Amino acid sequence: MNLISLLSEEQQLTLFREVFYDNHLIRLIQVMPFVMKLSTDHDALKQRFSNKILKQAVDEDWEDFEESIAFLPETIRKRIVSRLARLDDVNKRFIVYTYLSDLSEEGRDQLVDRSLSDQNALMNIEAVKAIAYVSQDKQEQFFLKAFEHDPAIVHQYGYYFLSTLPEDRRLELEQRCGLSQELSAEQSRELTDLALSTPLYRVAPDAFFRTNFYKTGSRTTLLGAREIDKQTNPERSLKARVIVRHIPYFAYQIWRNAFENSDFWKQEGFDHVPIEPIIRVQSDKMAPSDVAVFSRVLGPSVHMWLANTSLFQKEIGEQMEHITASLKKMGISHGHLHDDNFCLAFYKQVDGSVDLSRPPLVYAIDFDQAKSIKDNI
Amino acid sequence: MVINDMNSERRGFDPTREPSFEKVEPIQPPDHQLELKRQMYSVPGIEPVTQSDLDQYERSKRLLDAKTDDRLRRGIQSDRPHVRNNTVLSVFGTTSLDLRNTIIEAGMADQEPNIRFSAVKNCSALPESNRIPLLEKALQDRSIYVRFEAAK
Repeated sequence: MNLISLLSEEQQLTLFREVFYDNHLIRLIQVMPFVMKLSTDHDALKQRFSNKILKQAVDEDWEDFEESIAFLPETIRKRIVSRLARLDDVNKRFIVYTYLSDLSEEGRDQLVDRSLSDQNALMNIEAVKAIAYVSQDKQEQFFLKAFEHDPAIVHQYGYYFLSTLPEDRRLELEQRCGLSQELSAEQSRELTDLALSTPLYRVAPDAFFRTNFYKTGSRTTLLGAREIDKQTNPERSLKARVIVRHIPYFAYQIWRNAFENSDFWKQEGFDHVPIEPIIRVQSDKMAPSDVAVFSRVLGPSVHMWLANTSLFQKEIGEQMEHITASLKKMGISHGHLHDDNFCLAFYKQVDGSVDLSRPPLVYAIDFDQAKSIKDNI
Repeated sequence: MVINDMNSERRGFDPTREPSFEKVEPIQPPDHQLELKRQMYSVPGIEPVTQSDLDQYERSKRLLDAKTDDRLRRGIQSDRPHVRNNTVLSVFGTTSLDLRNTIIEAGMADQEPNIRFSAVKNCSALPESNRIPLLEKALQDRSIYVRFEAAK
């Protein structure tokens, strides 16, 4: 329902004026599509809104700005994106990478070229990921420039570009940059240990049964193997390790929708539900608006894994993108879907050891800030 | 041709009689849906999900659902603003129209503007006939954010 369209033009103008003088960028952006629907008599007001949004976008920092500009009319968004791309402010330029398609090819070339030699590693990463979208005659030149600037970043994110190349060109570039990987016995041992680790237990004492885990946002309780089990079954294993997430009920509802919709995930081409597995749920004793969700502990986060190795980076990256796009399709905004909130689960061989010959499965975890996408609009 | 089977005769089986399958229990075909579900929920490296795991989750969910209305009723009366806000945001968790009304109305009358804002944002939990008068009232709210959200 949209009550604005039920208001008279005069009432609408009163509301728009209030929003205009309130100087809240996000509200200005949200109201802009309705302002654009006003008759041509109000073109001057439209121009004032547009200029104000552009000025505030350039001069000020606003939370949720990045998501909000998606709802602006295309012409205004393109003006903003093109302006942000030329700024010195790294945070502003960073936003442009979400709206690369709004930039001209020349604009993309300039942005990526500049970001590749930036002192900020996050900008370097975004630039490497965006090489596939610059002019074709500049792609390989930029890729080699990125490698010269920071080989580790190319090792980790180079596949975004490499996977778009014909095989012979890809192999040549991989060889040139030493990206093809044969594991030594020692590397294999280290990666096996890493595959069995989890970010959750790094901060908890080794022997524990129940301990609180301090993370940003909601509270999490770690449940571990009891001491007696450790003695009888000393093998290092994630089995039987469970965490309890204390989250608002509405966040659980979103998580539950994502988790239970196995048919959706099947339709999306997944052979598993790539969502942190829920084991059981109960009321939370601390607040009636919260619930305690028991979930399975998975393996290392993508951040942990890729900080140590580039093995399976392409497969992991593809799964992450697939999950992110599918959640969006499902109408779910996870809220903080970064590399630490994707976890890996590795296959095991018959003898119980980690199978490093198969890519792990990726899971989205930590739905404490999940919302329905319509809530963000 | 009738084969005279001595053993069959001893068991009281008449080989000349037309076989009847009426009383034979049909073999249950494997529940492909369940099998698919188990596969979809099994995590590599961890023992496969069993029917009992899925049942345990369903049971806990039923218990939680049974208590949801009571928790929401307590939540909206809490003296802690974040609990009241989370309750308003969880309004879709109840199917009771009365309770939805209670939560949204209490949310819209709350002294905290962010709770009033959440109530306006979630008033699609109510049927249009209940919603429009509340939104019209919210258009007069003293907070511009609440007014704007109501108009959106």
